[in-house]
Amino acid sequence: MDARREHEFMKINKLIIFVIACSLITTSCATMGKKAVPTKRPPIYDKPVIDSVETQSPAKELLKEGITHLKEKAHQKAEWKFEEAIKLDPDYGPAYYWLARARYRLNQIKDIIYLLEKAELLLKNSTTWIERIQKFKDLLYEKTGY
Amino acid sequence: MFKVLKNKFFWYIILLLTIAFVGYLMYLNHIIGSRFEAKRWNLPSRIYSDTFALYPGQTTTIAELKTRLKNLGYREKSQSPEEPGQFHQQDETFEIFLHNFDYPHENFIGFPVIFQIQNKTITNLRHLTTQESVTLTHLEPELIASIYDDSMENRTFVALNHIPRMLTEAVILIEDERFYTHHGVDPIGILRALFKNITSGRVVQGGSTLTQQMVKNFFLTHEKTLLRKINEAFMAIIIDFRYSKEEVIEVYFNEIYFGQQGTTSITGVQEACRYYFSKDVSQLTASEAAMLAGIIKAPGIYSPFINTTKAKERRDLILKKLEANHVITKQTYQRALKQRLPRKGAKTQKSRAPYFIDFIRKQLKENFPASILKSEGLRIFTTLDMHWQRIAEKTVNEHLAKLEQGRPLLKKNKAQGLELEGALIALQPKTGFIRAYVGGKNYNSNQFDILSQAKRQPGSTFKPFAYLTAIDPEQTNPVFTAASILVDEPLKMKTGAGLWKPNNYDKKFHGYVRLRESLEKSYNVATVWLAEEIGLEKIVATAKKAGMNEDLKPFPSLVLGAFEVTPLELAQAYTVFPNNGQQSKPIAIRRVITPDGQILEKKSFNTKKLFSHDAIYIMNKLMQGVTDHGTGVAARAYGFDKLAAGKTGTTSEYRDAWFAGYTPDILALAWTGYKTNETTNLSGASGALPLWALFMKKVTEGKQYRDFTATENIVIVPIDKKTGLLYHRSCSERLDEYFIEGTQPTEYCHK
Repeated sequence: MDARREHEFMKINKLIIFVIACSLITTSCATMGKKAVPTKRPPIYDKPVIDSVETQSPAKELLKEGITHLKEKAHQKAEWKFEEAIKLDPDYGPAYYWLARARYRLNQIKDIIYLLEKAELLLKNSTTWIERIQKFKDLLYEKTGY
Repeated sequence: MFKVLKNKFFWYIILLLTIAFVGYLMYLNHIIGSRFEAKRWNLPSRIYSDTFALYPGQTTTIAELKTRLKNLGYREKSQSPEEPGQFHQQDETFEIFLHNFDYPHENFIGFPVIFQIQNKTITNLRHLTTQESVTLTHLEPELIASIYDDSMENRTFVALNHIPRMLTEAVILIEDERFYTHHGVDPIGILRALFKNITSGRVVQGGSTLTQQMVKNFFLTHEKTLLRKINEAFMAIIIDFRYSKEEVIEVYFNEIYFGQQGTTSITGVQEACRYYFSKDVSQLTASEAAMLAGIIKAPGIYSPFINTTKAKERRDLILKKLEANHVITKQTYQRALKQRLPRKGAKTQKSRAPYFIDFIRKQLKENFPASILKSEGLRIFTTLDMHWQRIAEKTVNEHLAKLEQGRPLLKKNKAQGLELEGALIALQPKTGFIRAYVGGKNYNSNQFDILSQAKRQPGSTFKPFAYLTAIDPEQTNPVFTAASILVDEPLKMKTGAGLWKPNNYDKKFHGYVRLRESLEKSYNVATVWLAEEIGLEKIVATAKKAGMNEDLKPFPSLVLGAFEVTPLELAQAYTVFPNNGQQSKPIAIRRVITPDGQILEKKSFNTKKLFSHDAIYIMNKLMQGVTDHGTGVAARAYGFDKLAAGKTGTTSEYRDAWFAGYTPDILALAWTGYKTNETTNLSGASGALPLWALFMKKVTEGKQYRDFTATENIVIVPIDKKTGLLYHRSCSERLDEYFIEGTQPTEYCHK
């Protein structure tokens, strides 16, 4: 009698374990299905900041020439060079920053904030550049209110 | 005799004559002083295209580069170039001796370069002589047009110190050997000429000195009268007395006539060098200097473009004189004799970009009176790429001709004198630089510039601005997404003009459609439904922000482009898409420079952020769908295979066919229709898209694949094609869709 009851008890136990296991598997499957939305991201075509790259680029060459002109106070020449750099490579962030600086020296401050915003956007991965741009923005605000 | 001398009356006459003569000399002196010292010529203003950069990595083809070089007057040689203006090409290797050019802020001295074009890309750019690598150099801008005064003289002033001594000596030796010793008039020369003319029985030699020739050209007319001759002689004497020989010869070289190019005369030595040798005067060889000196006597006879034999005989004679007078060495003489005379450049497809020039002139007129443009020798540097311009003009003409041949209605209209028109503009969207500008089919028959003057309905090319408003979380809440479901079912709307029932192009209703599908297939009804959902006022605000400054009213038909805009305004509005939400205003003129290098005007590009980059990226991906499998898919059939986005547009009764499309680097807009608004039976896809695609195919040849710049806020999520909800394998069909993070669907599709 005891053996028979024990056997029945075992059977019920097995059944309960089976039911629990099944329900666990089904719920986990269902939960897994809901959570795992396979989200991807498109590649972000961020250009590396060319200053940190050894290779020569025509835009970088023009930038260097422009900076030299700026140092020599040949602001018009510098502006032309920076514009040429942007024409050749419109995604070259440093050229926008330097163009803003040349125009600041030429006292053409009206829209240079947009050039700085563009530079910020293109150079967002470089903390050095962002700091540099911010500094210039502060100076601009201080001197001109823009 | 004494009686006469004692006669008071006689002395009065003498006194009067002396006073008259002195007065006459003073008058001549005054004329000379006022003009000679100022050296005033009416110098035409010149309009230049943009440069073409040469650098490793620049994309071009052998054919394109050769066309560019020939249009700039470079001459192809069978061996390495030895002097500016020559090039040599063998297989993929180019050797070019670059021209000198006075850029806005740089006086460029030409040097020889060598490079290869491999896989449509410039590689291994080096200095031909030193073999040092070159990072960047340019092909100079092309002269597109000159703005002349009534005399139509093509002239560029050049100072004497830029003119090689060889040329000065050659001219003196052949025209006026005693120039440095006479006093403006040369009696010995006159007698010698007289003797020669009498002995030969005809006029073989003139007795005029260089000073007299200069006086004749600079101050007087060419009529053969005694008074003119007398004036000429006295003026020459006064000039010789007042000014140095160097000053006289400088004016002479800038005044002398060297021949005719169409309706314009080639005046002055600098223009002559450009016309005959495509080079600067400072770069002349001995042979060229001798040839130019030889032309002066009679350009109609001694021009190498008219009579090679006579030009050569005269050149050789002058070379002999140069050698005999030790101006050149015997070796130089021998070498110069062997040099070939220039031939007229190979016929290339010329373009004056007439609509663009008109567009420029209108802008210039706002700041400069016409008289200044015709006389001050201004140099106007523009943004136009002449190679692209030629492609654009050719494509417009060929495409319109094809349409008029193949379509019965257009053929019939043409037979009745109604010409189909087309226009195309291409911009660099991130700077706004206009690279090609075709304002119509034929400028000679119609100068009306469609691009800047025609107010036309944009049709469905306006729709992207409505969709942009809908998907931008900064403008619409709750925001729509590419997967949102729109309703494309019969719709009735009350308007001021009565009940309006929008219809689709295919005259069908498509029920529930995803937003992407609606834009790709250009469904009108679903778009109107969407506009009502988000609010027409918001769309008006977006359009105005994008630069469509028309008096836009929030009528439901607005979203179907039922208002007017110029193609140029529409192109400007579209710059926000490839420019990641920033707008660039179209720029045609970059600098206006005086002959002494002062900047009179500059138009600097600027860029202003108008829309969220996230929303713009989604729009770019939606419009990419238009060219990949929507109404713009035919672009692929025309062989344009680069990644691009765009939108077709067709207005009611097929009056206007549009396509506005772009890659990340080029934006182009094409239009076809009748100026008089007749129906064409052409849709955007059949009328304007082929024109756009054919143009883009040619100008992007060799360019590398580039995608639109995404932001870190963009996610790609699999959705159910039918419902736009999250995809589950039990649903219809999977589609990967772009969302701004946080706006993607959260619910799964149900079977």
